[in-house]
Amino acid sequence: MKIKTLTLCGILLSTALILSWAERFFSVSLMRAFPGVKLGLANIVVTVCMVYLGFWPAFIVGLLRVFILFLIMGNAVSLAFSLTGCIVSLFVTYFALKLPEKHFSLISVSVLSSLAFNLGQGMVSILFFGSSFLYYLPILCTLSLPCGIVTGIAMNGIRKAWPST
Amino acid sequence: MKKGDYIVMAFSILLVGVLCFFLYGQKKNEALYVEIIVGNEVVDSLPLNQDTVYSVNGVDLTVKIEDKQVCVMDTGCPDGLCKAAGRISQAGRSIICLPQKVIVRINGTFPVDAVAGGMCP
Repeated sequence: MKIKTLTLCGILLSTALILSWAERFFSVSLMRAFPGVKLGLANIVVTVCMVYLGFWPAFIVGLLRVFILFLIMGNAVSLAFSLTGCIVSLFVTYFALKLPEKHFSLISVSVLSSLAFNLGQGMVSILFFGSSFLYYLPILCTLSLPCGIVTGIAMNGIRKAWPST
Repeated sequence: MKKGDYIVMAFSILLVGVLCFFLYGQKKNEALYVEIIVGNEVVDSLPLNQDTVYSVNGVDLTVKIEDKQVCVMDTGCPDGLCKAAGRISQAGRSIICLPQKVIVRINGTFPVDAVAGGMCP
């Protein structure tokens, strides 16, 4: 691994951590109405990492983000949630990036990966809370669409401002 | 926003719609039963989708099931609170007659949000 890649990974990881900590401040009302719903700003960083550095660096950044966030403020249940959601959404992001760039912007990638995150999360929640959680899954998935669009717009902005690859 | 994005969005909305349909649609077909409990024992269980008038054995209380709703039609208890409780139709709800120790309950699971904790019906 080149030193430049390593450094970039470190910077992206710390940015992701800061974003996932900071997003709590402006999505408080959303989280109060629907527990578990987040804007997913850290997802921007992971996807950008995948666009510029490839799958494995993004995989490592994504997993480390989840682990460090768990050490800072999480509990074991939220670790299981985010870990499964994160892995599922990473794979979906990888395949979504294979879509022709001419017709699909990063908004598609973001929407698909946030949907995948919720479905992955849903599978674990059924293990923890039983099938009554299934009632909550459509709400999560519906809310993931606007959140995915918002983060996708941010990703497009970053790709426009940072064209070097 | 490119052309493909709209396709992806339409696809996602469709997916969510199908999910909603399967999760919220199927559960409605679940057959609900009205349980009549006297003291601590379940004395009878009646299907909610069948209109009947049922008088409970041993106590002075008549239950009526109509239009998938159940109510206490007649009661011999002094306060008549069970009659005043009106009609219930959702799973998990109950009408209780305290003086005669009778509970009329619709069984089945009440859809609660597991994360937010129990929502008392």
